[in-house]
This record gives sequence, C-alpha cells and structure tokens, in this order.
Amino acid sequence: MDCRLLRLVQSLDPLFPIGSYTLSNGMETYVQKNLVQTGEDLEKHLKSYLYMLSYNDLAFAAKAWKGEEVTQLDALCGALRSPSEMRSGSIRQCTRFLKLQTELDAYPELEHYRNLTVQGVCDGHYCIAVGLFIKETGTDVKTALELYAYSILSSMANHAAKLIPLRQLDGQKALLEAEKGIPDAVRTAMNVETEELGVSGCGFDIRSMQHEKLYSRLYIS
Amino acid sequence: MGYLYIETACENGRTVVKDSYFTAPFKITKPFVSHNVLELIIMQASAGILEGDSHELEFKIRTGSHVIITGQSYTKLFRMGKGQARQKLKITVEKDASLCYLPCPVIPFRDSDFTNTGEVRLEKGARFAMTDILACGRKGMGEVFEFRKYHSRTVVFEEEVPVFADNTRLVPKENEPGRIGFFEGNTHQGMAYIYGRTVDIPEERGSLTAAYSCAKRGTVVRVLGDSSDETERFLKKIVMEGNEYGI
Repeated sequence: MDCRLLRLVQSLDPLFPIGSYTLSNGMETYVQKNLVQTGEDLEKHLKSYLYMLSYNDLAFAAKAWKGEEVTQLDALCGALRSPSEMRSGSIRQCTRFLKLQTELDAYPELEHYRNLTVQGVCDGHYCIAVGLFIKETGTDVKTALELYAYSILSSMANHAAKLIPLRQLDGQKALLEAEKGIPDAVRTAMNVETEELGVSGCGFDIRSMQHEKLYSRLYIS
Repeated sequence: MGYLYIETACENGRTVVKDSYFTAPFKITKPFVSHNVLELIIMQASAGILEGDSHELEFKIRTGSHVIITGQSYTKLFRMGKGQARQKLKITVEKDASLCYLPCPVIPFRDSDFTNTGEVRLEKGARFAMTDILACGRKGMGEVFEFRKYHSRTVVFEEEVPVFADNTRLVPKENEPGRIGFFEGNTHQGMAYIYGRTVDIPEERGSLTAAYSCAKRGTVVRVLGDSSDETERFLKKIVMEGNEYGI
C-alpha cells in the first residue's frame, strides 16, 4: 500500500481525534426507542444509512473532489442538514479535521477552506473537507470514498454494539453485510446531480431531531 | 403547460392582489380577506397531474401584504406511461410581508413519475411557512409505493443564501421507501417549515411520529404517520397557530 493511501486510512480512522466517538448520528435514538435491537436490525439500518450517504456525505465529498465551488457546496450542505445536531456535529468534526490536517502537513485547499470558515464565509462541513483532502492526497477517488463510507459505517456499528449492547461478532456481521454495498454507493455518489444532493430520509431526520430531547444521552448527536 | 402568477401588495393598509395571471388548468378563487390577511385557493380544472404536464407557479408577496395560499383537496399524480410530469414553484416574500403556503397532500398513483422544484426567496424581516405532505399512493386500494419516481426539492434562500433545503427523492425500485431511515413502516410523511417567527409544537402527537429542530434559519417539523388527514391537521395547526394575524 502506498503512503498516500495510508495517510488517508489514518485520517479516516474512527480513532483520528476529531470526535467521531461522540456522534451517534441518531443511532442513540434508534436504540433507546427499541427500533434497533438486534444484529439484523443493525444490518438493515446500516444498509439504509449507506443509501442515504450516497446522496449526502459521499456525494458532497465527490463534488468537492471534482472542484465544485466550495462556498456554494458548503451553503447547500448547511441548508440541507436541517436537524441541528446533524449540522453542528458535521461542523465540529470539520473544524477539528481542518485544524489537525493543516498542522500535520501543507494542504493549500484545506488551508483555503479553513480560512473561509474562520472568516465566517463558510460553516465548514466535514464531508466537504474530506473531499478536498482526498484531492490533496492524490489517491484514487473511488478507493478513497469507499474508505470514507467504511469509516462512517464502522463508527455507526461500534456505537450500536455499545448502546444495544450487541455481541462484537453480531456487530461485525452486520458491518460485513452492509459494506458489500459500498462500491455501489460510491458509484452512485460519483454521479449524483446537484438537484439530488442531500436527499433526506424522513426517519433519519426525525431520529436526529428526537435525540435533542432524549432523557439520557451518551452521545452529542 | 399550466402557468399561475400571483402578486400581492399592500395598498392603503390593505392586502390586495396586485397582479394575477393563469392558464388552464389553473384557476384561483375570489380572494377572501379577513384581518388584512388575504386568502386564496388555487383550483385545478383537471382532476390531477398527467403525464407530460409541466406546470409553473409563481407567488410574489410584496412588502406589507399577508397571504395564505391553499389548494383544494389532494394533488393526484396519475398513472403515466414512459413520460413524466414536472412542476416549478417560485416564491418571493419581501420584508414585512408574510406567506403561508399550504398545498394539498400529494398522492402518487402507480407508475407516476413527478419532479417538483421549489425556490423560495425571503428578505430579512419576511415571514414564511409552508407544508409538504406525501402519501404512499391510493392506500385504500392497497397501492403502496408503486409510483416510479417522486422527487421534490425546495430550497429557501434568505437574501440569496440558502438557509433551508428539503430534498425528498423516492425511487421505490432502487430504495424501498418503507424501510428504516425513510418511512419506517408508515405510509405518509409530512414536513413544515416556518421562518421569521417562533412556533409552538403540540406535545399531543396522536398516532404520529413527529419531531422538530432549528434549521440554519427557521424551524422544521417532520412527521411520519398513516393518514393524510391526521398529518395535515397536525402540521396546519402548527403553521396557523401563533400567527399574529389571527389566522
């Protein structure tokens, strides 16, 4: 494996310190409301989530990689993420990601995006930063987006395994089944039209909104 | 190829229709005015939206005017062959003006293919609210998610900057709409967006699953349920109550 790809693996690792472990992205609601209780439920959830990602995070990253106007992408991304925790989680991760990466090495495009967020021109959304980062590393975009999708699903599966709780084996089984859909999801993401960007799932949005009012919370989204 | 244009303004302290223009199948009722709020009902001479239809609706709500626009009953998307139908919606609300746009719930029949594109431009100091309700099909006949495609995208701009966007794209053949994350076993989804004022969301939800949050600007309410009536009643109440014009 070449070093550029390893750099990507490091940055997209759920352990990369940008706070992924604090964001359940609605999973905490699904578990508390007994909507995700078993390995099979988790597998269904991950597959559906992956479909949504192909029009959201993955598609925004693909557009940023393609060099689309970053301020416009950023504004649209912020408008589409109407549940406030979904929006603030994305901004929080992005802020940390940009700070860390620009201290680790010189990445002109990330530096530029960071400046725009500091000036208040952009909110700074994590998926857009990832797209720019993929471009800077010069890695194959499909492989990179597949890794990105894997990293999101893997975090989600781990959160669920802890919250439900599930046997590690069941969590990994669900992840294994869901990750089979990643190449297709990335293919979709690469071809998403601007009008299709950010297609929402009403259920995902509602669970994220309900999270704001859960009685007890381990996660901040 | 229906076209509908409505422009309202404030004249001598009263909201009036300044200009209006429409072609078949659109018609508007004689405006009803109460407490300086003008209410208009959009009527369609056709029973619903047919293959090949391409409609355009435009509302311009000028400073000082206060308007409610509603529809008649349901928007039916009829069975279509290989073609599709489109609708474009353009809304402008100027400062110190308000618009409640409450279109009818949409029922997409088997094999229908429909795309709606909405652009809402708001000036700071404007008030705006809208609802959007979608059924799975003619549920009573057992028609559940048998349409080909339903895509409705609305972007709300505040002084040219997008502050809220809603993008529903359902293609049952590639993504079963009833699954977790989408309709979650329900047959209806609904959305309300309220800009420029605070809203009270009732705790009583009946059989609905509902939640709300603050968008970048404004409040968004989302609902999953099993009936158009219940979904519509719940969202209408939120949108209409607390409106200082007594509507």
